[in-house]
Amino acid sequence: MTDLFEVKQKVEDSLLKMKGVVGVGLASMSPERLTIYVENQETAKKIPLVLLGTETRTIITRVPKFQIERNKKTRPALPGISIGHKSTTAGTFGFVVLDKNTKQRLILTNNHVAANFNRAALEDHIYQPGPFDGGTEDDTIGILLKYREVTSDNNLIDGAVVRPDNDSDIFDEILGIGKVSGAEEARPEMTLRKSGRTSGITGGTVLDINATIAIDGAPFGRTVFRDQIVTTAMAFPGDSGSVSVSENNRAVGLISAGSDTITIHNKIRNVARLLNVDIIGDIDIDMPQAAFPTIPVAAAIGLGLLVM
Amino acid sequence: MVTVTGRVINKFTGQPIPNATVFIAGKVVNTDSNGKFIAQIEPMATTVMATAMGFIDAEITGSFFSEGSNINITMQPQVNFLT
Repeated sequence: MTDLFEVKQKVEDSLLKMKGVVGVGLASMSPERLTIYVENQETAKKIPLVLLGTETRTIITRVPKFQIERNKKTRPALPGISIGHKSTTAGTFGFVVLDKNTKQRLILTNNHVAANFNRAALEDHIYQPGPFDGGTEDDTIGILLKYREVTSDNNLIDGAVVRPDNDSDIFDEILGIGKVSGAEEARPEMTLRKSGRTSGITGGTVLDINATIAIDGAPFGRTVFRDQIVTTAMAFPGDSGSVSVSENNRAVGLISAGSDTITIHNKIRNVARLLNVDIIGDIDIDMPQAAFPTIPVAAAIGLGLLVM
Repeated sequence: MVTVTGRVINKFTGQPIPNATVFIAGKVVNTDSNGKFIAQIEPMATTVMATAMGFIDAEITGSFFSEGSNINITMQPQVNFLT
């Protein structure tokens, strides 16, 4: 009789290359059978009933997912988990963007998460998880590369980017949401989702797409943000830095603030423009400008608003 | 004296704000569970102010209120950075 273990060893690599096959095992049943785990009935039908003289059986299953705790150290780190500057508490790794000049992959989050409301120095270490979740120097994932200053008025974004020490330490897919490709403008009543360090996957409905809103909590007091997206409440403390996405998994906003009833999102294309980064999969088009004066990147650097 | 009524709502969601405090022509009244209030005041041009837990104070200045006036007050939620 053919040794079942030997058969498994001989066929498993070939089977795993088949689309829809997710695993191969040994069934503890009589007669002995080779068990092939598949994603769907269609794949099951393609599996021979006998392989190298051994009967097979198929079990339909989902692809097992790794269980990731959002407030623990994870490498590669995924968007949706805890991150923070050494002097902050913890926010969220939003998603991966590309430096417009170098095309290097960068971590997007908020200024107040990675740059501590303008008080951090460039190249300061950023921890994953953030300090509130136990992150220390040993958990450094990268350095603060650049941020847009938050001032008392006329803010469009609360954004910063982190350069990972190793490119392989970050993963593109947002935890629980998947791959995000491109960007989309918010529309009234649109449904958005986000994956955040504190509240995980939540959704909300767009209430306003051009709000001017006062936000509390900055060290210099109340600050005003303009041209913001407002949704029903979908984020809580620690979710700052999450990226909100459309039903088509296109990036729409960068979550920065909120209350019991609403959540505030910076427009993602404002974020990309003012941080001089590209959104993976976004079409390079001329975006309509905001209804109030904005300044190009070079001028922003000159005025000290874009710190890099 | 005239009777005026009003409603206090969340600026973004349109939801009523219960237990808001409304200051009008020297009177202080609270909103009910539907965000509504009623007050008896001297007919006059006055400032109306509303306060509520979790919202930024709202003010309507220089309006003249008479019998049957209906006052709608919108309040912006107090928003904080989320860390």
